[in-house]
Amino acid sequence: MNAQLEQFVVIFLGIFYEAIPFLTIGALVSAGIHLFVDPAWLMAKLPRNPTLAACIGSVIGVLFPVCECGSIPAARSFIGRGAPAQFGYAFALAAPVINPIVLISTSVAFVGVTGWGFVWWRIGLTIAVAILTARSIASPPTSITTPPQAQTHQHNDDELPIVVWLRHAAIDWLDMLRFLVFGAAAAAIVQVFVSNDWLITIAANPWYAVPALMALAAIMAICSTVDAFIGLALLSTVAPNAVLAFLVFGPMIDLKSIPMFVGAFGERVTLRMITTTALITAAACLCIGGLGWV
Amino acid sequence: MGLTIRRISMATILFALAGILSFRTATGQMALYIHPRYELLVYACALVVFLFGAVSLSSHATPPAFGTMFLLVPVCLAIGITPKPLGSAALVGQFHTLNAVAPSTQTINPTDTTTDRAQWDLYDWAIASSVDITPYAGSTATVEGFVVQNPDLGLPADQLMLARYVLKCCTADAGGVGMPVVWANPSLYAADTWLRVTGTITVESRTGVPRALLVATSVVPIEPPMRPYLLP
Repeated sequence: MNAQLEQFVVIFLGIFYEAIPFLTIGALVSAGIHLFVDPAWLMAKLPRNPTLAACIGSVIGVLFPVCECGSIPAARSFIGRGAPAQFGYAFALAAPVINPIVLISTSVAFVGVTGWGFVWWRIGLTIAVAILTARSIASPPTSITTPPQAQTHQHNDDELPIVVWLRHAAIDWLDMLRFLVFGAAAAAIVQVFVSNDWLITIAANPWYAVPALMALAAIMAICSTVDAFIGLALLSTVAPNAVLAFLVFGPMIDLKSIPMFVGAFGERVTLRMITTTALITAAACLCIGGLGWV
Repeated sequence: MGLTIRRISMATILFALAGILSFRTATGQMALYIHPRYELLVYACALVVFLFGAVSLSSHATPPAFGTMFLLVPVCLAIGITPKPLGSAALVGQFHTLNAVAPSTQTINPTDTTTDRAQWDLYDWAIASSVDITPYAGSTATVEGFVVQNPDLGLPADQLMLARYVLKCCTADAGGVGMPVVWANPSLYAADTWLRVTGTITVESRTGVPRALLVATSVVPIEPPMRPYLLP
Protein backbone atom coordinates (compact mmCIF):
# COMPACT_ATOMS: atom_id res chain seq x y z
CA MET A 1 0.00 0.00 0.00
CA ASN A 2 1.13 3.54 -0.67
CA ALA A 3 3.08 4.94 2.32
CA GLN A 4 0.85 8.00 2.63
CA LEU A 5 -2.28 5.86 2.54
CA GLU A 6 -0.82 3.65 5.28
CA GLN A 7 -0.06 6.76 7.30
CA PHE A 8 -3.63 7.98 6.80
CA VAL A 9 -5.07 4.68 8.06
CA VAL A 10 -2.83 4.66 11.16
CA ILE A 11 -3.69 8.27 12.05
CA PHE A 12 -7.39 7.89 11.26
CA LEU A 13 -7.72 4.74 13.38
CA GLY A 14 -5.62 6.37 16.12
CA ILE A 15 -8.05 9.28 16.35
CA PHE A 16 -11.04 6.96 16.11
CA TYR A 17 -9.87 4.48 18.78
CA GLU A 18 -8.91 7.31 21.12
CA ALA A 19 -12.16 9.24 20.65
CA ILE A 20 -14.67 6.39 20.66
CA PRO A 21 -14.62 5.77 24.45
CA PHE A 22 -15.25 9.46 25.10
CA LEU A 23 -18.06 9.54 22.53
CA THR A 24 -19.57 6.52 24.28
CA ILE A 25 -19.41 8.26 27.67
CA GLY A 26 -21.01 11.31 26.08
CA ALA A 27 -23.81 9.21 24.55
CA LEU A 28 -24.50 7.52 27.90
CA VAL A 29 -24.57 10.89 29.67
CA SER A 30 -26.73 12.33 26.89
CA ALA A 31 -29.23 9.46 27.10
CA GLY A 32 -29.20 9.73 30.89
CA ILE A 33 -30.07 13.41 30.67
CA HIS A 34 -32.84 12.67 28.21
CA LEU A 35 -34.40 9.87 30.25
CA PHE A 36 -33.80 10.87 33.83
CA VAL A 37 -33.71 14.68 33.88
CA ASP A 38 -37.14 16.20 34.16
CA PRO A 39 -37.44 19.17 31.78
CA ALA A 40 -39.56 21.06 34.31
CA TRP A 41 -36.89 20.55 36.96
CA LEU A 42 -34.13 21.65 34.59
CA MET A 43 -36.03 24.74 33.53
CA ALA A 44 -36.74 25.60 37.16
CA LYS A 45 -33.12 25.18 38.21
CA LEU A 46 -31.43 26.99 35.32
CA PRO A 47 -31.75 30.75 34.96
CA ARG A 48 -33.59 31.94 31.87
CA ASN A 49 -31.21 34.87 31.58
CA PRO A 50 -28.90 33.89 28.67
CA THR A 51 -25.78 35.37 30.24
CA LEU A 52 -26.28 33.60 33.56
CA ALA A 53 -27.13 30.38 31.74
CA ALA A 54 -23.93 30.67 29.69
CA CYS A 55 -21.92 31.31 32.87
CA ILE A 56 -23.26 28.14 34.49
CA GLY A 57 -22.83 26.13 31.28
CA SER A 58 -19.19 27.18 31.01
CA VAL A 59 -18.24 25.72 34.40
CA ILE A 60 -20.60 22.75 34.75
CA GLY A 61 -18.03 20.67 32.86
CA VAL A 62 -16.17 20.05 36.14
CA LEU A 63 -18.82 17.40 36.77
CA PHE A 64 -18.26 15.68 33.39
CA PRO A 65 -14.78 14.30 32.69
CA VAL A 66 -15.19 14.22 28.89
CA CYS A 67 -13.58 15.95 25.93
CA GLU A 68 -15.50 17.42 23.00
CA CYS A 69 -16.51 13.97 21.74
CA GLY A 70 -18.65 13.63 24.87
CA SER A 71 -19.59 17.20 25.62
CA ILE A 72 -21.31 17.90 22.28
CA PRO A 73 -23.92 15.09 22.51
CA ALA A 74 -24.48 15.97 26.19
CA ALA A 75 -24.99 19.64 25.29
CA ARG A 76 -27.48 18.63 22.62
CA SER A 77 -29.47 16.67 25.18
CA PHE A 78 -29.40 19.52 27.68
CA ILE A 79 -30.92 21.85 25.08
CA GLY A 80 -33.36 19.16 23.99
CA ARG A 81 -34.60 18.88 27.58
CA GLY A 82 -35.34 22.56 27.83
CA ALA A 83 -32.06 24.13 28.98
CA PRO A 84 -31.36 27.54 27.46
CA ALA A 85 -29.39 27.25 24.21
CA GLN A 86 -26.64 29.49 25.65
CA PHE A 87 -26.17 27.00 28.48
CA GLY A 88 -25.65 24.18 25.97
CA TYR A 89 -23.33 26.20 23.71
CA ALA A 90 -21.14 27.34 26.61
CA PHE A 91 -21.04 23.80 28.01
CA ALA A 92 -20.08 22.28 24.64
CA LEU A 93 -17.28 24.82 24.18
CA ALA A 94 -15.85 24.95 27.69
CA ALA A 95 -16.32 21.39 29.01
CA PRO A 96 -13.38 19.95 27.02
CA VAL A 97 -11.08 22.15 29.16
CA ILE A 98 -13.11 22.80 32.30
CA ASN A 99 -13.17 19.22 33.49
CA PRO A 100 -11.14 17.42 36.16
CA ILE A 101 -8.87 15.42 33.82
CA VAL A 102 -7.79 18.38 31.71
CA LEU A 103 -7.30 20.65 34.71
CA ILE A 104 -4.99 18.08 36.27
CA SER A 105 -3.04 17.40 33.05
CA THR A 106 -2.60 21.15 32.43
CA SER A 107 -1.34 21.64 35.98
CA VAL A 108 1.05 18.70 35.74
CA ALA A 109 2.44 19.99 32.45
CA PHE A 110 2.83 23.68 33.22
CA VAL A 111 3.13 24.37 36.94
CA GLY A 112 6.71 23.12 37.15
CA VAL A 113 7.76 25.14 34.09
CA THR A 114 5.73 28.35 34.09
CA GLY A 115 4.06 28.36 37.50
CA TRP A 116 0.30 28.50 38.10
CA GLY A 117 -0.19 31.63 35.98
CA PHE A 118 -0.43 29.79 32.69
CA VAL A 119 -2.92 27.27 34.10
CA TRP A 120 -5.19 30.05 35.41
CA TRP A 121 -4.98 31.86 32.08
CA ARG A 122 -6.11 28.72 30.26
CA ILE A 123 -9.04 28.19 32.62
CA GLY A 124 -10.09 31.85 32.74
CA LEU A 125 -9.79 32.48 29.03
CA THR A 126 -11.66 29.29 28.13
CA ILE A 127 -14.56 30.28 30.40
CA ALA A 128 -14.58 33.84 29.06
CA VAL A 129 -14.49 32.77 25.40
CA ALA A 130 -17.22 30.17 25.97
CA ILE A 131 -19.51 32.67 27.72
CA LEU A 132 -18.97 35.44 25.17
CA THR A 133 -19.42 33.09 22.22
CA ALA A 134 -22.53 31.46 23.66
CA ARG A 135 -23.99 34.85 24.54
CA SER A 136 -23.36 36.14 21.03
CA ILE A 137 -25.46 33.38 19.47
CA ALA A 138 -29.06 34.35 20.03
CA SER A 139 -30.61 31.69 17.85
CA PRO A 140 -31.47 28.17 19.03
CA PRO A 141 -29.92 25.15 17.29
CA THR A 142 -31.19 24.73 13.76
CA SER A 143 -30.54 21.01 13.78
CA ILE A 144 -32.41 18.22 15.52
CA THR A 145 -31.66 18.66 19.21
CA THR A 146 -32.58 15.14 20.21
CA PRO A 147 -31.83 11.91 18.39
CA PRO A 148 -34.58 10.26 16.33
CA GLN A 149 -35.48 7.49 18.73
CA ALA A 150 -35.48 9.81 21.72
CA GLN A 151 -38.21 11.81 20.04
CA THR A 152 -40.45 8.84 19.38
CA HIS A 153 -40.15 7.11 22.76
CA GLN A 154 -40.78 3.72 21.22
CA HIS A 155 -40.24 1.49 24.19
CA ASN A 156 -42.37 -0.81 26.28
CA ASP A 157 -43.33 0.17 29.80
CA ASP A 158 -42.21 -3.22 31.12
CA GLU A 159 -38.64 -2.81 29.85
CA LEU A 160 -35.87 -2.38 32.39
CA PRO A 161 -34.69 1.25 32.67
CA ILE A 162 -31.13 0.20 31.84
CA VAL A 163 -32.29 -1.35 28.54
CA VAL A 164 -34.16 1.82 27.63
CA TRP A 165 -31.12 3.89 28.61
CA LEU A 166 -28.76 1.76 26.49
CA ARG A 167 -31.12 1.88 23.53
CA HIS A 168 -31.34 5.65 23.65
CA ALA A 169 -27.55 5.90 24.10
CA ALA A 170 -26.96 3.58 21.12
CA ILE A 171 -29.09 5.70 18.81
CA ASP A 172 -27.45 8.90 20.05
CA TRP A 173 -24.02 7.30 19.69
CA LEU A 174 -24.67 6.19 16.11
CA ASP A 175 -26.10 9.59 15.28
CA MET A 176 -22.93 11.40 16.42
CA LEU A 177 -20.56 8.70 15.20
CA ARG A 178 -20.92 9.66 11.54
CA PHE A 179 -19.63 13.13 12.39
CA LEU A 180 -16.72 11.70 14.37
CA VAL A 181 -15.75 9.41 11.47
CA PHE A 182 -15.98 12.30 9.02
CA GLY A 183 -13.99 14.62 11.30
CA ALA A 184 -11.31 12.02 12.06
CA ALA A 185 -10.89 11.34 8.34
CA ALA A 186 -10.61 15.06 7.58
CA ALA A 187 -8.00 15.57 10.33
CA ALA A 188 -5.98 12.55 9.13
CA ILE A 189 -6.10 13.67 5.49
CA VAL A 190 -4.88 17.16 6.37
CA GLN A 191 -2.11 15.77 8.59
CA VAL A 192 -0.87 13.38 5.91
CA PHE A 193 -1.25 15.45 2.78
CA VAL A 194 -0.76 19.02 4.03
CA SER A 195 2.56 19.85 5.66
CA ASN A 196 2.45 21.70 8.99
CA ASP A 197 5.91 23.16 8.36
CA TRP A 198 4.60 26.44 6.98
CA LEU A 199 2.50 26.99 10.09
CA ILE A 200 5.52 26.46 12.35
CA THR A 201 7.51 28.86 10.16
CA ILE A 202 4.79 31.49 10.34
CA ALA A 203 4.58 31.01 14.12
CA ALA A 204 8.11 32.38 14.46
CA ASN A 205 6.63 35.84 13.80
CA PRO A 206 5.05 37.11 17.06
CA TRP A 207 2.11 38.71 15.20
CA TYR A 208 1.24 35.63 13.18
CA ALA A 209 2.04 33.13 15.92
CA VAL A 210 -1.41 33.29 17.54
CA PRO A 211 -3.50 32.56 14.41
CA ALA A 212 -0.91 30.03 13.19
CA LEU A 213 -1.07 28.05 16.43
CA MET A 214 -4.87 28.21 16.43
CA ALA A 215 -4.87 26.78 12.90
CA LEU A 216 -2.38 24.12 13.98
CA ALA A 217 -4.62 23.15 16.92
CA ALA A 218 -7.63 22.85 14.62
CA ILE A 219 -5.70 20.68 12.16
CA MET A 220 -4.04 18.41 14.72
CA ALA A 221 -7.36 17.74 16.52
CA ILE A 222 -5.60 16.55 19.64
CA CYS A 223 -7.71 15.36 22.55
CA SER A 224 -7.88 18.04 25.24
CA THR A 225 -6.87 15.53 27.90
CA VAL A 226 -3.27 15.58 26.63
CA ASP A 227 -2.88 18.73 24.56
CA ALA A 228 -1.14 20.48 27.47
CA PHE A 229 1.92 18.30 26.92
CA ILE A 230 2.02 19.22 23.24
CA GLY A 231 1.62 22.87 24.25
CA LEU A 232 4.51 22.52 26.66
CA ALA A 233 6.74 21.20 23.89
CA LEU A 234 5.74 24.17 21.69
CA LEU A 235 6.64 26.62 24.43
CA SER A 236 10.34 26.36 23.59
CA THR A 237 9.86 27.61 20.03
CA VAL A 238 6.68 29.71 20.08
CA ALA A 239 5.58 32.73 22.13
CA PRO A 240 3.60 31.81 25.30
CA ASN A 241 0.49 33.74 24.22
CA ALA A 242 0.39 31.67 21.01
CA VAL A 243 0.63 28.46 23.05
CA LEU A 244 -2.23 29.78 25.18
CA ALA A 245 -4.27 30.30 21.99
CA PHE A 246 -3.41 26.71 20.98
CA LEU A 247 -4.69 25.41 24.33
CA VAL A 248 -7.85 27.52 24.44
CA PHE A 249 -8.99 27.29 20.81
CA GLY A 250 -7.98 23.68 20.02
CA PRO A 251 -10.29 21.95 22.52
CA MET A 252 -13.22 24.11 21.40
CA ILE A 253 -12.86 23.94 17.61
CA ASP A 254 -11.01 21.39 15.50
CA LEU A 255 -11.51 19.38 12.34
CA LYS A 256 -12.89 16.47 14.35
CA SER A 257 -15.42 18.50 16.36
CA ILE A 258 -16.72 20.78 13.58
CA PRO A 259 -18.82 18.05 11.89
CA MET A 260 -20.14 17.06 15.34
CA PHE A 261 -21.16 20.68 16.03
CA VAL A 262 -22.93 20.78 12.66
CA GLY A 263 -24.78 17.58 13.51
CA ALA A 264 -25.82 18.83 16.93
CA PHE A 265 -26.52 22.51 16.37
CA GLY A 266 -26.78 23.06 12.60
CA GLU A 267 -24.56 24.86 10.11
CA ARG A 268 -25.55 28.43 10.97
CA VAL A 269 -24.86 28.12 14.69
CA THR A 270 -21.63 26.20 14.03
CA LEU A 271 -20.34 28.86 11.64
CA ARG A 272 -21.13 31.57 14.17
CA MET A 273 -19.49 29.52 16.90
CA ILE A 274 -16.28 29.01 14.91
CA THR A 275 -15.86 32.63 13.84
CA THR A 276 -16.73 34.13 17.22
CA THR A 277 -14.54 31.71 19.16
CA ALA A 278 -11.64 32.32 16.77
CA LEU A 279 -11.93 36.11 16.86
CA ILE A 280 -12.26 36.36 20.65
CA THR A 281 -9.43 33.89 21.31
CA ALA A 282 -7.10 35.62 18.83
CA ALA A 283 -7.88 39.11 20.12
CA ALA A 284 -7.50 38.08 23.76
CA CYS A 285 -4.25 36.20 23.23
CA LEU A 286 -2.72 39.02 21.17
CA CYS A 287 -3.61 41.48 23.96
CA ILE A 288 -2.26 39.15 26.65
CA GLY A 289 0.98 38.75 24.68
CA GLY A 290 1.25 42.45 23.89
CA LEU A 291 0.81 43.37 27.55
CA GLY A 292 3.34 40.74 28.59
CA TRP A 293 0.94 38.97 30.93
CA VAL A 294 2.18 35.47 30.05
CA MET B 1 -38.49 -8.23 7.01
CA GLY B 2 -36.37 -5.34 5.73
CA LEU B 3 -36.32 -3.78 9.16
CA THR B 4 -35.21 -7.04 10.74
CA ILE B 5 -32.32 -7.32 8.30
CA ARG B 6 -31.27 -3.75 9.07
CA ARG B 7 -31.40 -4.43 12.81
CA ILE B 8 -29.34 -7.60 12.43
CA SER B 9 -26.86 -5.81 10.17
CA MET B 10 -26.42 -3.00 12.66
CA ALA B 11 -26.03 -5.40 15.58
CA THR B 12 -23.44 -7.38 13.61
CA ILE B 13 -21.40 -4.27 12.91
CA LEU B 14 -21.60 -3.22 16.56
CA PHE B 15 -20.52 -6.70 17.71
CA ALA B 16 -17.67 -6.55 15.18
CA LEU B 17 -16.49 -3.20 16.56
CA ALA B 18 -16.69 -4.49 20.14
CA GLY B 19 -14.64 -7.50 19.06
CA ILE B 20 -12.06 -5.35 17.28
CA LEU B 21 -11.63 -3.07 20.29
CA SER B 22 -11.23 -6.01 22.68
CA PHE B 23 -8.99 -8.09 20.40
CA ARG B 24 -6.66 -5.23 19.47
CA THR B 25 -6.27 -4.27 23.13
CA ALA B 26 -5.80 -7.84 24.37
CA THR B 27 -3.14 -8.56 21.75
CA GLY B 28 -1.29 -5.31 22.35
CA GLN B 29 -2.02 -4.08 18.81
CA MET B 30 -3.98 -1.12 20.17
CA ALA B 31 -0.60 0.30 21.26
CA LEU B 32 0.12 0.89 17.55
CA TYR B 33 -2.60 3.55 17.59
CA ILE B 34 -3.14 4.99 21.07
CA HIS B 35 -1.36 5.42 24.41
CA PRO B 36 -1.70 2.30 26.61
CA ARG B 37 -3.16 4.43 29.41
CA TYR B 38 -6.48 4.25 27.55
CA GLU B 39 -6.63 0.43 27.50
CA LEU B 40 -9.09 0.07 30.38
CA LEU B 41 -11.27 2.74 28.85
CA VAL B 42 -11.25 0.89 25.51
CA TYR B 43 -12.25 -2.38 27.23
CA ALA B 44 -15.14 -0.59 28.94
CA CYS B 45 -16.12 0.98 25.63
CA ALA B 46 -16.08 -2.44 23.93
CA LEU B 47 -18.46 -3.77 26.58
CA VAL B 48 -20.87 -0.87 26.11
CA VAL B 49 -20.72 -1.21 22.30
CA PHE B 50 -21.51 -4.94 22.69
CA LEU B 51 -24.52 -4.01 24.83
CA PHE B 52 -25.56 -1.46 22.19
CA GLY B 53 -25.59 -4.31 19.69
CA ALA B 54 -27.61 -6.55 21.99
CA VAL B 55 -30.30 -3.96 22.72
CA SER B 56 -30.50 -2.93 19.06
CA LEU B 57 -31.55 -6.49 18.17
CA SER B 58 -34.67 -6.13 20.29
CA SER B 59 -35.37 -2.56 19.25
CA HIS B 60 -38.58 -1.69 17.42
CA ALA B 61 -37.15 1.52 16.02
CA THR B 62 -35.51 1.93 12.63
CA PRO B 63 -31.71 1.89 12.93
CA PRO B 64 -30.12 5.10 11.62
CA ALA B 65 -28.79 4.08 8.22
CA PHE B 66 -26.18 6.85 8.00
CA GLY B 67 -24.63 6.07 11.37
CA THR B 68 -24.39 2.38 10.49
CA MET B 69 -22.80 3.11 7.12
CA PHE B 70 -20.23 5.46 8.62
CA LEU B 71 -19.40 2.88 11.28
CA LEU B 72 -18.48 0.48 8.48
CA VAL B 73 -15.52 2.69 7.52
CA PRO B 74 -13.39 2.15 10.65
CA VAL B 75 -14.62 -1.44 11.03
CA CYS B 76 -13.57 -2.34 7.46
CA LEU B 77 -10.23 -0.54 7.79
CA ALA B 78 -9.55 -2.28 11.11
CA ILE B 79 -10.41 -5.72 9.74
CA GLY B 80 -9.04 -5.35 6.23
CA ILE B 81 -5.68 -3.71 6.86
CA THR B 82 -2.93 -5.35 8.88
CA PRO B 83 -2.09 -3.18 11.91
CA LYS B 84 1.18 -1.34 11.42
CA PRO B 85 2.91 1.42 13.38
CA LEU B 86 3.77 4.76 11.87
CA GLY B 87 6.83 4.35 9.70
CA SER B 88 9.68 6.51 8.51
CA ALA B 89 7.61 7.97 5.66
CA ALA B 90 5.52 9.90 8.19
CA LEU B 91 8.65 11.70 9.44
CA VAL B 92 9.00 13.78 6.28
CA GLY B 93 8.70 17.38 7.42
CA GLN B 94 10.03 16.62 10.91
CA PHE B 95 13.68 16.09 10.00
CA HIS B 96 14.84 19.41 11.43
CA THR B 97 13.40 18.63 14.87
CA LEU B 98 14.41 14.97 15.11
CA ASN B 99 17.49 15.55 17.21
CA ALA B 100 16.02 18.03 19.68
CA VAL B 101 12.85 18.25 21.72
CA ALA B 102 11.63 20.58 24.41
CA PRO B 103 12.41 19.56 27.98
CA SER B 104 9.40 18.51 29.98
CA THR B 105 8.71 18.08 33.64
CA GLN B 106 7.56 14.58 32.76
CA THR B 107 11.01 13.38 31.83
CA ILE B 108 14.33 12.87 33.50
CA ASN B 109 16.48 15.84 34.28
CA PRO B 110 19.22 15.69 31.65
CA THR B 111 21.69 17.45 33.90
CA ASP B 112 21.32 14.73 36.50
CA THR B 113 24.47 12.68 36.07
CA THR B 114 23.36 10.11 38.64
CA THR B 115 20.90 8.46 36.22
CA ASP B 116 22.06 5.48 34.20
CA ARG B 117 22.70 6.85 30.74
CA ALA B 118 23.03 3.36 29.35
CA GLN B 119 19.26 3.06 29.89
CA TRP B 120 18.43 6.26 28.04
CA ASP B 121 16.31 5.95 24.93
CA LEU B 122 16.27 8.22 21.88
CA TYR B 123 13.86 10.63 23.60
CA ASP B 124 16.18 11.05 26.59
CA TRP B 125 19.12 11.72 24.28
CA ALA B 126 17.08 14.20 22.27
CA ILE B 127 16.27 16.09 25.47
CA ALA B 128 19.94 16.09 26.45
CA SER B 129 20.78 17.37 22.97
CA SER B 130 18.25 20.17 23.37
CA VAL B 131 19.76 21.36 26.64
CA ASP B 132 23.50 20.80 26.13
CA ILE B 133 24.96 17.61 24.78
CA THR B 134 28.58 18.58 25.47
CA PRO B 135 28.79 17.09 29.03
CA TYR B 136 27.64 13.74 27.66
CA ALA B 137 30.41 13.32 25.10
CA GLY B 138 32.12 9.98 25.60
CA SER B 139 29.11 8.29 27.24
CA THR B 140 28.22 4.80 26.15
CA ALA B 141 24.69 4.47 24.81
CA THR B 142 22.44 1.68 23.57
CA VAL B 143 19.36 2.77 21.69
CA GLU B 144 16.69 1.10 19.60
CA GLY B 145 14.81 2.57 16.68
CA PHE B 146 13.96 2.28 13.02
CA VAL B 147 16.10 3.40 10.10
CA VAL B 148 15.15 6.55 8.21
CA GLN B 149 16.53 6.76 4.69
CA ASN B 150 15.83 10.06 3.00
CA PRO B 151 18.15 12.36 1.02
CA ASP B 152 16.47 15.38 2.67
CA LEU B 153 18.15 14.41 5.92
CA GLY B 154 21.40 15.69 4.44
CA LEU B 155 23.53 13.16 6.31
CA PRO B 156 27.13 12.38 5.34
CA ALA B 157 27.73 9.10 3.55
CA ASP B 158 28.90 7.31 6.70
CA GLN B 159 25.78 8.05 8.74
CA LEU B 160 22.24 6.76 9.06
CA MET B 161 19.35 8.19 11.06
CA LEU B 162 17.82 6.08 13.81
CA ALA B 163 14.42 7.35 14.93
CA ARG B 164 11.33 6.59 17.00
CA TYR B 165 7.99 8.21 17.57
CA VAL B 166 6.96 9.77 20.86
CA LEU B 167 3.27 9.40 21.64
CA LYS B 168 1.28 11.50 24.08
CA CYS B 169 -2.25 10.40 23.21
CA CYS B 170 -2.74 8.84 19.78
CA THR B 171 -0.97 8.64 16.43
CA ALA B 172 -2.35 12.06 15.51
CA ASP B 173 0.10 13.70 17.93
CA ALA B 174 3.08 11.40 17.28
CA GLY B 175 6.33 13.31 16.92
CA GLY B 176 9.67 11.88 15.89
CA VAL B 177 12.96 11.85 17.78
CA GLY B 178 16.19 10.54 16.34
CA MET B 179 19.95 10.45 16.39
CA PRO B 180 22.45 10.11 13.55
CA VAL B 181 24.56 6.98 13.79
CA VAL B 182 28.05 6.69 12.34
CA TRP B 183 28.46 3.22 10.84
CA ALA B 184 30.65 1.69 8.20
CA ASN B 185 27.81 0.67 5.90
CA PRO B 186 24.74 2.83 6.59
CA SER B 187 22.95 1.94 3.36
CA LEU B 188 22.92 -1.75 4.34
CA TYR B 189 19.64 -1.37 6.18
CA ALA B 190 16.43 -0.41 4.42
CA ALA B 191 14.08 2.24 5.75
CA ASP B 192 11.93 1.06 8.69
CA THR B 193 14.38 -1.71 9.66
CA TRP B 194 14.57 -1.84 13.46
CA LEU B 195 18.09 -1.77 14.92
CA ARG B 196 19.71 -1.91 18.34
CA VAL B 197 22.79 0.28 18.24
CA THR B 198 25.50 0.48 20.87
CA GLY B 199 28.22 3.09 20.66
CA THR B 200 29.80 6.22 22.03
CA ILE B 201 28.16 9.62 22.12
CA THR B 202 30.17 12.33 20.38
CA VAL B 203 29.32 15.94 19.74
CA GLU B 204 28.99 17.21 16.21
CA SER B 205 28.62 20.87 15.25
CA ARG B 206 28.35 20.61 11.49
CA THR B 207 25.28 22.84 11.38
CA GLY B 208 26.63 25.26 13.99
CA VAL B 209 24.51 23.76 16.76
CA PRO B 210 26.09 21.02 18.90
CA ARG B 211 24.15 17.79 18.58
CA ALA B 212 24.55 14.19 19.61
CA LEU B 213 26.05 11.67 17.26
CA LEU B 214 26.34 7.99 18.06
CA VAL B 215 29.52 6.36 16.82
CA ALA B 216 28.41 2.74 16.64
CA THR B 217 30.45 -0.18 17.84
CA SER B 218 27.59 -2.64 17.38
CA VAL B 219 24.54 -2.58 15.10
CA VAL B 220 22.06 -5.45 15.45
CA PRO B 221 18.80 -5.79 13.49
CA ILE B 222 15.89 -6.57 15.84
CA GLU B 223 12.19 -7.33 15.57
CA PRO B 224 9.91 -4.28 15.89
CA PRO B 225 8.92 -4.01 19.57
CA MET B 226 5.35 -4.70 20.72
CA ARG B 227 5.14 -1.07 21.80
CA PRO B 228 7.04 0.80 19.10
CA TYR B 229 6.33 4.31 20.41
CA LEU B 230 8.13 5.99 23.28
CA LEU B 231 5.71 7.05 26.01
CA PRO B 232 7.12 9.83 28.19
